[in-house]
Amino acid sequence: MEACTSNPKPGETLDYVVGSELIADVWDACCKAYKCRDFHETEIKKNVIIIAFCGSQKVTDFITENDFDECKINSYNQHFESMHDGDVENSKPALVRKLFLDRFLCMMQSSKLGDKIQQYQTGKKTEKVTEKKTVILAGHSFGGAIASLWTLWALEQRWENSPLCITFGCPLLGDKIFSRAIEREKWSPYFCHIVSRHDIVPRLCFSSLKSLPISKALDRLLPYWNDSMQKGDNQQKVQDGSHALPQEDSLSFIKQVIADTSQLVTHETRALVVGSANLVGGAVKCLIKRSPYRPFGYYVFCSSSGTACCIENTEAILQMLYFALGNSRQSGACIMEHIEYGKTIAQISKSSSLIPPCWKTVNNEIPPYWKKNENFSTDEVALALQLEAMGIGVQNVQAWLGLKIVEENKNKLTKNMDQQIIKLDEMQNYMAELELYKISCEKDGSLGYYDFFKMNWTKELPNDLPNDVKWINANKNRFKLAAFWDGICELMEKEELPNDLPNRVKWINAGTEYRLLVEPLDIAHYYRLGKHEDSGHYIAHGRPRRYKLLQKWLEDKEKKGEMQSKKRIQPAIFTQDSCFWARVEEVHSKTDEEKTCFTEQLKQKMADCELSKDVFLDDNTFMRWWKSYPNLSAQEKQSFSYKYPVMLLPSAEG
Amino acid sequence: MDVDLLNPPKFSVGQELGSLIATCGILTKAWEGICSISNNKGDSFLLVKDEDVAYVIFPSFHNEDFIVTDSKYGECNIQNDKIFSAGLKGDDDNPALVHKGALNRFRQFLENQDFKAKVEGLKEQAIIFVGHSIGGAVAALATLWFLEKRLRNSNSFCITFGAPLFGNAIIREALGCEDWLGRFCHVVCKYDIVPRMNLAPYESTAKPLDAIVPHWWSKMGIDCAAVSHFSISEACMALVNSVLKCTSTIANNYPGESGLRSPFVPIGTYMFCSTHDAACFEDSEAVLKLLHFSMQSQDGIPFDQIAGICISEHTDYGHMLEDIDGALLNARQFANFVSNSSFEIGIALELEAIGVGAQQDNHALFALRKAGEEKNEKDRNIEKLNVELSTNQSSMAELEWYKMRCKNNNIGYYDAFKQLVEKKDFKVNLHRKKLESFWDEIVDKEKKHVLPSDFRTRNKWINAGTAYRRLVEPLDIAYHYHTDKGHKSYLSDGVRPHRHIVLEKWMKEKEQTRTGGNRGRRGRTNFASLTQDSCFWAHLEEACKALVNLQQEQDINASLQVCVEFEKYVGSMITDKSISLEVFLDQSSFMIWWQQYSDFQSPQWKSSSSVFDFMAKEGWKKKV
Repeated sequence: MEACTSNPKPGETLDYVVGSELIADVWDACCKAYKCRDFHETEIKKNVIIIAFCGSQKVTDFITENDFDECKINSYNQHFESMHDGDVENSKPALVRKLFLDRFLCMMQSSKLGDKIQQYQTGKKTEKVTEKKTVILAGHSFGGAIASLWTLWALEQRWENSPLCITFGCPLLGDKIFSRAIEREKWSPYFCHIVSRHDIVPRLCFSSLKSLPISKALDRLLPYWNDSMQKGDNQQKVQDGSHALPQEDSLSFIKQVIADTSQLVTHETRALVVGSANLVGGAVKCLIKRSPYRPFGYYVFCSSSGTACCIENTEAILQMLYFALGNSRQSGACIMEHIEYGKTIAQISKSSSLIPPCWKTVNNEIPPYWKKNENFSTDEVALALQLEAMGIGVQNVQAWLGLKIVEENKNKLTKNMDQQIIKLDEMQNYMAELELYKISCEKDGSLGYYDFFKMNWTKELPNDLPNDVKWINANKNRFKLAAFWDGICELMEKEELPNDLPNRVKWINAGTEYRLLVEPLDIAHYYRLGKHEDSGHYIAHGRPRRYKLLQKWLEDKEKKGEMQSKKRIQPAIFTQDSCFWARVEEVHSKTDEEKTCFTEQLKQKMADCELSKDVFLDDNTFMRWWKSYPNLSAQEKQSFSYKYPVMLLPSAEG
Repeated sequence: MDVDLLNPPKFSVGQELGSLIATCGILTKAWEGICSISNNKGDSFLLVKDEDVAYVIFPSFHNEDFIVTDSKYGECNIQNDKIFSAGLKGDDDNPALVHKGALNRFRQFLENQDFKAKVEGLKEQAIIFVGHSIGGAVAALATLWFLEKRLRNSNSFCITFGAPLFGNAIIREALGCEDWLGRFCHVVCKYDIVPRMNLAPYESTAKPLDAIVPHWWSKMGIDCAAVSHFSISEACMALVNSVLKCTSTIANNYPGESGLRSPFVPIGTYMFCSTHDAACFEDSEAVLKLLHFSMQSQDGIPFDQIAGICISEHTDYGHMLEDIDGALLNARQFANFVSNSSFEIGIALELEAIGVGAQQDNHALFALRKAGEEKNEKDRNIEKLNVELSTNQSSMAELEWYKMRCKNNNIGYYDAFKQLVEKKDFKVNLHRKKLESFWDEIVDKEKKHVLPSDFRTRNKWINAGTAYRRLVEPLDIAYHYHTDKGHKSYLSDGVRPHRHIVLEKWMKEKEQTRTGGNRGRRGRTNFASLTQDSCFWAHLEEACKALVNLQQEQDINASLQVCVEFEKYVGSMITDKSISLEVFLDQSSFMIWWQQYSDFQSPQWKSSSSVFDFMAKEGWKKKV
C-alpha cells in the first residue's frame, strides 16, 4: 500500500493501520465484541492493543423524546471540556446523541476501562503493564460511537500519546460544534470511520427517529443485524437478508433516508456558495427540521469493487455520504453492507488502492476519463479520482458540483488565511510604532503612555516631535490595529478562516501582544471621552469583543496546558492584565471592601511580577489614587515605587 | 472588463435549490390544502397548522377574476384601496401596479374581519401564504401586506402554484430593497399557461378564456356546466398562440411598440418544474425569458398537443410533485463535460432540470449566464466597497481629530473650516474631497443597480453613511458659504449635494421601518457629540442673513419669521439633546448670532423663551 498522506503522526499511524493486515484484526475484534457485554480486548503483535466495543442495540433504545435524540455533551459530566463553539460569552456546548453519551457514562462508572487506557497510554508501572502500548479503540455500528467517545475522552486527558479510533459503519455522533471542535483541536486524524458505500447506518442519523418508515424498519432491522453479527456466519446472512424486511418497507425506508440526506446535504452545499444567502432556500431553512448531526474525523469510503478513498473535510464527507448512497436503488445492499465489512476489507487489501486525502501529484498513469480534459487542475483530478473510486463517476455532475463547491470553500479559507498572515506582518509595524510611543511617553518619568493618551496631548516634551503629532499617530495606529483584529473576529464568526486559528500559537501570541500593548489605549480613549458616565464602566459595558476573544484564546490554550508561562523574575514589560487600567479607573466608585480586595490583588500581582514598570510612574492615574488611598500605612505606600521590584519583594513576602 | 474575465461566477445552484424545495414536504402540504379548499367550494380561506408552521390557503379562482375591464393587462394602482403603506407607491410616472383581480379578492378577505384577526393572532414560528392560480396572486399580496406590518420577527413566506404575475417593476424594487424577494416562491409547471397569461393583453385572451375557465373549474372538482371537448381544444390553441406571440417578443427583445409590453414582471424566486426535476431562478429578466423558452417544446411534440398540455398543467400540480418525488433517486449524468467551469455545468443542470436543452446557442442559456454574471458583479462591487470603506475610515479619523483640535481651541470645526485660515484646513479639505468622491460613487452605483438590491437597507451602510453625513456635511456647508459668499442658500434647490440628500433618505426610510420593531429609541441623556441634523449650520446661516436684514430693517416680517423659526428649531433640539455642545463654544457663529438676536428681541420675549432661559443659565455646562 502506498502511503502518501502528508499528515503528522496520527495520520501516518492511520495509514499504517488501514493499509495493512492489522485492519482485519481490528474487524475480527469488533465481531468478537458482539459476544461480550461491553468490550473485548486483545493484544495483537507486540504492544498493539485493540479494545473493541460491542455494537448490539435494543429496539427500545430508539424510543426517544425528541426527533434526533440529541443532548448537550456536558450534561451530567465534565469529561469533554474542549467540545464547545469557542464563543466568548455564553459559549455553546456541542450536542451529541444521548443514547451514546449515556452508555459511555454508564461504562465510565461501572468499568475500570478508563484506568486501563491511562495505564497503556502513559506507561505507569503497575504489576501487569510495564510499558506504553499502542491502543486502538474500535467498534462496529453503535460500538463505533462508543469507541469514538472513549477516544475523545482519552484525547481530552492530553497525554503524550493517544489511542486511535477505528469504526465500521458507525452512526453519526455529534453536531457541527462537535465536529468543528475536533477540527480545532486537530484531533481529526485520531478518528477513522470506515464506511461501505451503500451502508445505510451512517446516514440514518439524518432522519428523524419518529418518522414512520424509519421506526418501522428499525424494529426489524436491529434484531436482524444483532443476530447476524452474533452468529458471525456469513453464508447464512445473505440468505436471510431479503427476508429481514419486506421489500415494500425497505424501499420506503431507504427512500426516506435518501430524501432526508439529500435535504441536508443540498442545504449545506447551498450555504457554502457565496452570495446565495438570501435565496428562497434561506427562508425555507427555518421551516424544515434538519438533523443536527455532522461527520467528524477521517472517513474511508469503500466500494464493493475494492477501491477506497479517504476524505478529511467534513463538508466533503457529507457530500460523499449522500452521493455514494443517493444513486443506488439497491436497498438490499444498503442493509446488507452494514454487516459485511469483513468482505469489504478483504477486497481492499487485495486491490490495495486507497486514495489518500491529499492526493495531489499525478504520478500514475492518467485514467482515460479525464484525458480529454487536460486542463483539469490537480485538485480536480483528485476529485475525479475520488468519484471514480467510489463508483460514482465524474459523469455524475451533481456529485462533481457538490464536491467542487466544498473544495472552493476550502480554498477560500486558505486564501483568506494567507491574506491575513500578510496583513499580520504589516500590523507589526504599527505595533512597533506604538511601542516606541510607549517608550517616548515614559521618558520624562512622570507619566506612562496610558495617562499620556488619556490626557490632553498639548503637554510638550523637549527635543521631540510635537506631542499632538505623536498622539494622532498613536491613535491612527490604534485604529488600524483595531480594524485588523475586528476583521479577524468577523471572519472567524462567519467561519471564513480555518477553524483551528484560535489554537495556533502564532496567532495567540500575536493577539496577546496586541491586547497587552493596545488595550490600555482603548481604555484611555474610553475614559477620556467620558463614555463611562454614559454607558457604564469599561470592563462590563465597553470592552470590545476582540479583546474578549483574544483573551479567551490564550486562556483556553493555557487551560489545556499546551502553553505555560514561566514564572517571572523580572517585572513584565507589559502589565499582564490588560484591563488593569480599567480596574484602576473603576476603583474610585467601589466600596471600601472592594478596594481592600483590589489592593490585595495588586500585592499578589506585584509578587508575581505581573505589573509593568509604567504602573509606578509618579504622577499617573494609579499612583495618584494609591497615594491618596487612606487605608494604607506609609511604608506600604512607599513600597510602590519606580525601583520596584527590589524594594517591593520583601514587603510582599512579609 | 479584464477583471471580469479573471473572476467569472463560480457556481449556479438553482437545480440543487429546486430539488431541495421540491422534496422538503412543504409544497406537498401546501397543495393538499389547495385541493381540500376547492373541494369545499368555499370562498373563504383555510388555516392549517402543522407543528410550528401555519398555512394560510386561499381559494383558487373565480370566473370574474380573469375578466379585465378598464386596463389593458389587468393592472391597477396598488394605492387604490389604501391597504398598503405609502412606501409602496412609486412615483407619478411609474405607479406601483398590481393584478387587479387579485387585489379585489384580497380586499374582500381583509374586509372580512375574521381574516385579519386570525392571521394577526397566529403564534406559529412561520406563516406560509399559499394559493393556486389567481389565489396565488392573492397570497402574494397577502404576504406583502403581512410583511409590511413587520410583526415581531415574523417569518412569512409565500408559495404559489401557477399564479399569474402579480406586480410591476416598482413592486419588485420595493421588495428588493427590503430583501424580501426571497420570501416569494412561485412554482410553475413547465407548460402552464397562466403564469405567462398577463404578459399578453387581455383582449387577445378574453375569448378563449371564457371556454377554458369552466374547464379548469371542473378539473379542480368544482361543478359547472359541461364544455364540449372540441371548443376547448380550439380555445386552447387560440390562447396559447396569442400568449406565445407576446412572450416571444419579450424574450427575444424584439423592439415592439413600447406601449405593447405588459407592465407585469416576475417577482421573487421562480421554480420551474418538468416531469422529472425542478430548478429555481431569482433573476427577474432571466425568469421572464424562461417563461417563454420553457414553453417551447424540446421533445418534438406537435403544437396542438402542447396547447392542450399548457391548459391541463395548470390544474395538475399534484401529479407533478409526485413525479419529481419519484425521480429523486435518479442521478443526472452528462455523457460529456459541458464545460470545465462549474458555473456552466450548474446552468446546464438547471436547464436540463426544467426540460430545456442546453445547446450552446440556446437563448435561455445566455439569459442565465448573463444573470449569473450580473449577480457576480454585484457581489464583487460590494466586496470592493467594503474594502474602500475601511480605508476611508482613516480619513474620517483625520476629520474627527480636526474636530477635536478645533474644539480645544474653543472654536467649532464648522467655523474654523469656514475661515480656512490654517494650513491644516487645506489638508482637511483633501480628506473631505476624498470622502466626497467615495460616497458619490456609492450613490451613483446604487442608482445604476450594480449593487445588491437591499444595499440601501443594510445597517452597516446606513450607519456609515449617517456617520459620514453628520461629520462632513457641516464642512460642505462651510465650504459652500465660504466660496459662494452667501448669495444662494445651501438649503435652496440644487445646492445641497445629492449624496447627502440620498443618504438622509436612506436613513429615514430605515428608521421608519424600525419603529414597528422592538428597537425603540432611547432618549438621550447627554448631548450628542455630533449635531443630529447635519443641515443645522445651513439653517444657522439663513438665520444670520435674516438677522442682518432685520437690523437693516428690510423684509421685517419674513426675516423675523425665519429667526423665530430657527429659535424654535434650536429649542426642540435642545430638549431632545440632539444638538452638539460644540455649537455653544465661545467663538461659535451660533453664539454670535444668538447675542445679536437676543439683543434685538423684546424683554417679554426674554421671560417667555425657553431657549433664552437655557442660554442664560449656560445649560450646556451642567452635567446631566
